[in-house]
Amino acid sequence: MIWYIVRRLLQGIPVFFGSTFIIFSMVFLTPGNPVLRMFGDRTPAPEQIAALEAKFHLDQPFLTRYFLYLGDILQGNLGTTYAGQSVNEILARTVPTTLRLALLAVVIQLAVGVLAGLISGLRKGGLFDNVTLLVTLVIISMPVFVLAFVAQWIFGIQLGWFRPTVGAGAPWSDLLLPAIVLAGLNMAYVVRLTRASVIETSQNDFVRMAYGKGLSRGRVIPVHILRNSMIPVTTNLAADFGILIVGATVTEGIFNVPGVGNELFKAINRGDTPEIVSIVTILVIVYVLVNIAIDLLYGVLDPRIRYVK
Amino acid sequence: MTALEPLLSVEDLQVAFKTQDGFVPAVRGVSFDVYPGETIAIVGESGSGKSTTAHAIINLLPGSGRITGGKVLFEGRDLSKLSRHEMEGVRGKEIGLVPQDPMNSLNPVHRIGFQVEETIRANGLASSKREVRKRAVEVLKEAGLADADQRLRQFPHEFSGGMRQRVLIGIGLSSHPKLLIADEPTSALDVTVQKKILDHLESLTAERGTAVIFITHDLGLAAERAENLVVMHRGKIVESGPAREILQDPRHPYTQRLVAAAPSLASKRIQSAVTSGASLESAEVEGADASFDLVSVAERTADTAVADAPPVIEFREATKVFKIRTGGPRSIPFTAVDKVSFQVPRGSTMALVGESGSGKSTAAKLLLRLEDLTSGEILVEGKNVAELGKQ
Amino acid sequence: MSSKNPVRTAPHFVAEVDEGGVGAVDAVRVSDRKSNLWLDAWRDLRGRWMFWVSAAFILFIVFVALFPTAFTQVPPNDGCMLSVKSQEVADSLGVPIGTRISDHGPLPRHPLGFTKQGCDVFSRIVHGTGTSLSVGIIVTVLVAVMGVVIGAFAGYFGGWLDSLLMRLGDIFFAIPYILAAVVIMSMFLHERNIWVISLAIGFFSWPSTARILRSEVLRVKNLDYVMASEAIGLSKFRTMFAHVMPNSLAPVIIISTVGLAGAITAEATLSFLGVGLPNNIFMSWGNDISAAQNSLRTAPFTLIYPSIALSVTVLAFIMLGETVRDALDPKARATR
Repeated sequence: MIWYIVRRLLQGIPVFFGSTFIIFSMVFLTPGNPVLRMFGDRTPAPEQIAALEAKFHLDQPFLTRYFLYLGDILQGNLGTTYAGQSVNEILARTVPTTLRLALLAVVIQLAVGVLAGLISGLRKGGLFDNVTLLVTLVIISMPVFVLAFVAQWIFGIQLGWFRPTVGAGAPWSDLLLPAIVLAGLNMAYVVRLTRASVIETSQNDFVRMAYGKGLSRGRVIPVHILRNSMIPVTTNLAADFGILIVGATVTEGIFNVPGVGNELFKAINRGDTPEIVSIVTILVIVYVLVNIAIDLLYGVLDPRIRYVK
Repeated sequence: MTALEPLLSVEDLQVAFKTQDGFVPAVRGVSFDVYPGETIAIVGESGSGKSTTAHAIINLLPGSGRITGGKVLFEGRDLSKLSRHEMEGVRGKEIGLVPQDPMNSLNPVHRIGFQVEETIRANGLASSKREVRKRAVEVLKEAGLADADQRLRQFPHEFSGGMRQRVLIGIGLSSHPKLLIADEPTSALDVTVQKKILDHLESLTAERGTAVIFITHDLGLAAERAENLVVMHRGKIVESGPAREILQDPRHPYTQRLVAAAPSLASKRIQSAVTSGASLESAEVEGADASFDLVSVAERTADTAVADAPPVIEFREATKVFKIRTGGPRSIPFTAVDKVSFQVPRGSTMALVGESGSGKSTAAKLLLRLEDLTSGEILVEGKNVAELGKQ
Repeated sequence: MSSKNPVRTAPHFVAEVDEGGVGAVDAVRVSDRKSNLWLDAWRDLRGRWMFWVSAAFILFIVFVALFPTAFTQVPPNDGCMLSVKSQEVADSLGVPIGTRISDHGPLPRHPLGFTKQGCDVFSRIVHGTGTSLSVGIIVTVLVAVMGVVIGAFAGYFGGWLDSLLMRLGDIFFAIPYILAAVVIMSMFLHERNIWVISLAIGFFSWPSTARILRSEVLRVKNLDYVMASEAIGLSKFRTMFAHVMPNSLAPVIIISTVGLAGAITAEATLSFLGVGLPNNIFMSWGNDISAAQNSLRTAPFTLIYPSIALSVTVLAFIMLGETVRDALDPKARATR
């Protein structure tokens, strides 16, 4: 088991450097002066140009630039935005909110999704199964912003069940609607994966054996069928997180949740490329870490892989 | 121990499967009895309905299967009419099951101990944690596993096939059921392991007076281990009766073909033919054991081949070592073929015999250069295989 | 023989010999239906309503994309006005002069009303179809080509090349492709067109396809008959090519159909965020939705209609992907 952890961590290192390097390259390998590009359509004053050039260490060779940049990010030295606010301070303020939102979304998604998938799988072909499949299909085909607007309009404005936008301090009750939207993004896959997994597991010999040795349905379903079916769902959590990151950006923007996603959303809206690059780099790093964590969780769920390369 | 009533009485059982083309009958009117303490074997080829019959007894048919007629009377109760809850009470406690495939019949994500203990608890054998633990250890010990305590903490994939089957047998017998259904319990295992396991099973069931239903496709094995046989073909019983009688005097043409084709009976015939000089009778051949010297037979046969012709194929101390990664930084060397030497004279046929894992397939691959030698030589027509081109 | 004492002497029962008895054992029932993955898949697809509905809708969408003028004569970008200025226009629309057109409801020849800029919603939707489809198709082809080539190379050559490519795949996979596309599009403010956006979206989506190809190649490499054909002298490459291609086609098709839906969604999302296609040159549903955000309370339809168009298009492709996957995957068929 230890070796599995070590191996996984070692595998994470090239991914960590590789992905941050690629983001960096996308920015600084563009033709022309990257800093000028960052200003978009604006005509910047020379001091502003110089400031950005210094921040990104443009006087250094390319590779050195990368490591200096990476160092800056990791040390939390992220500089200031156009408006002069400290990026550090912004992050410190907004990250907890986003975490709360993401947590709520994942909990809803798993609770509803796994349950629906389990029932669908056990009663394959039944009414619940068909309806669920159709409903989840419709939900995944709505891009995140469409889903967000629809939810906001129907439940926030028309029906008035929730506040259309999140108030100050982002209380949990206000986060509920955006969390449901976020949960909906990937819920369809969770349902399907669970369903397929449940169906496949149910046909396994060990399930038949479990009944054969005298266990009741009430024991076989959670302990043997569901437990084994959770393995692919867990793997999916990693991709899920990627979707959550993007979804959070849009959702927080639309619902005005004071989180990191909203910062990114606003930065994109005003074309603040340096901040976009900083936030994206951080998000990518977080994603790599989450991936590693999920792989380790997978090792807990499925003991077989601890011993195989 | 004379019982007048059968323990299990199957009367005109009919089982069908629901498919896209409608209901397909798999078992078409099967009737037989099992008395307490006796061992019967249901023999048939795949598709004959033997497994289906056995699973129908405890209502463990796959989703599309249904009992469409007949009765399954166990101690007077018709099992086919029981509710799900009642059936759960019968399974495990009154009727045990030893499944066919040990590789897939244990849940890979739970420890062995977990799976044994849940059986004990479900069948009401013990309730306190310590009691359950104690019983689990006993079960494994009775199944013939050493270090039962340690074994409980391991996962199924850490066990060999034979060990897993022992666990399953242990689980099947853990609540001392009156009847045990053993579905081809050893067909997935190697021959040498098979015998040990079956012997062990026999001693356990004899000791407790458990009735056993053996499902098998091997008539020889059936005859060896059961008192009575039931021969099934295409969903019906074609012949049934005492095992000895059926072997010596098969009356139904299908049974006759089975007797002629049974692999274990065939090998016994070979054994008896070779050692006929020692006046062994075919019926007593079952005493011959693994120490039988196949190599000497091969050598004798080889002597009669063209003695002077140069060997077409020659292995000289051929060795092949694989490096197996254990998941850590080191890898364990695994010697698949260890200094193997033999010759194959021109025009003769040589059989490489061995169990799985003995290295015979690897040896063949070495000859065809689908794998490379670690050391030693292989010569084809005098030329070293390593020097020949890919052709 | 069994060492137990027999409990009883069982009667020796022999069944009647019927049905030609043993001969029936030998007769092998030859299946009269030819079994073939593609034939079976087609037979399966034929029976699914989801397939027909989605296929029909996709054909319809393609038609709309190719021939927008068949559906509306109103130009999507010209002639947008904030209010009615001339009597002529007022008459043709049937409203009094000076009427505020911005966010107005339906009028003759303008069945879905007007956007905030006073442009015709219906026309913009019709003309936006082509954009979404083009991006979807280009991305899908790009990803398929990249994935197949890289995956095949990795699987066939193995060794260090395999490790390198797979590591590269892990790295690209670790970057959420929309975030990467955001960064790229931010840097290429003046070069935003269909090709650039397609590249931005597709460049990070190849690892999944590559992995499929690679695993298929590896699986075939180890098959007995590849070894057998190598043993008798056939070129390993040719054998593998002949076997890898048809087998991997199915999963690639499945992943591509779903990928197409994802690409359309990605383009819309990028446009919504403001880093997609520039609004003045390209019609994009994402742009329209973005522009209509602030009218959610006052004129929700300006947002809802393009949303419906977008969602239904994506839904059609996802449905197609679902049915195709169920038809091509033998395991999934068992679970239907």
